[in-house]
Amino acid sequence: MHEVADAHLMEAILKSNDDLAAHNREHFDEIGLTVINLMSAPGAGKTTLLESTVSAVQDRHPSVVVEGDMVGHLDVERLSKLNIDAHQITTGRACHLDARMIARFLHQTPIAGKEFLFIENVGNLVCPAEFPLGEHKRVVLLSVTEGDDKPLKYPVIFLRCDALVFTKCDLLPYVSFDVEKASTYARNLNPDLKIFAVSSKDSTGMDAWLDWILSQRATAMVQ
Amino acid sequence: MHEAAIAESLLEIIKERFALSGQTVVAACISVGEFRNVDAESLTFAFDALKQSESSVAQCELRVESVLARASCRGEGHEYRPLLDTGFACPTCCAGIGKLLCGDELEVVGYEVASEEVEVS
Repeated sequence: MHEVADAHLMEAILKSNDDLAAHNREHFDEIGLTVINLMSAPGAGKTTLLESTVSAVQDRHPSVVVEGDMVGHLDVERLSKLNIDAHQITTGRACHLDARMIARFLHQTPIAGKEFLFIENVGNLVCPAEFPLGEHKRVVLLSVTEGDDKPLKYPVIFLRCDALVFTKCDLLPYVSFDVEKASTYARNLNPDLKIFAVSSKDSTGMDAWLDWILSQRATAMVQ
Repeated sequence: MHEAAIAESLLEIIKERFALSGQTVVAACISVGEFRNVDAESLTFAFDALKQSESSVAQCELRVESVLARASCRGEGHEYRPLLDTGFACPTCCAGIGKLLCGDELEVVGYEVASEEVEVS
């Protein structure tokens, strides 16, 4: 015969990650670091967007990038060629970054004087949604070479992000991607979502994106 | 497969909960919301594989209750099931989600423990 022992609370299963994410966030705020977590399917243009974004902001706002990949250092090498301070977290079999990996990075890497930390998460529209890192903002990238029904197929990550960036918009004349439809699907899930449409190739939309990035620092410093 | 990470986290919670109690936990009951990226079958598979290395939880069965999502729309506050067929919009007024009422749970809701066997003379 079995007795029933009620859980003391409705205990969140990922509480340990959530608690460590909150601890990371406290640390970020203490040292004045504004943290942006970029997530997307593989190949949506995270690294390319970071090349443009960090190159644009880092002269006035020293920045550091963490690259999360299952194997290799290819993206760090790309960014380093542009004099971007980039560091690799190799996740091995893990398909996402988690708060513990970011905490370890913070303890092992000198980041004094940095104002922005950009995190490029592992290319994956599923797992990163479940693991907050302590970031100030979560950004999902969706390239116009993907399907405009992605928000329908992967609702959780769109539900849980702060901003959506349509990338590779210079290719819109050549693809059937419907930006309005994709935006509607995403906003049905997340009414407060900020949406940007950019091309790193021809700089379309980059001013609005960069303004938003810089405004996040202003917001983080006030809080 | 992030279900493995979730199973690890769950096993740690169970071990901590029962570390000093002397009780044998025979089942952990969890709720998984529809709007969580968690596959119950994969989670159970990972849980059953990982629990074998810890005698304190090796007998623990994972029981998963799936919670369907419900939302109130941001148009007129209608309660509805956000479904892919309507693009997650309210079927009454076509407004999007105002508030997710349920369906994003990933939590332990209870345990079953073995009672002490009573000797009958």
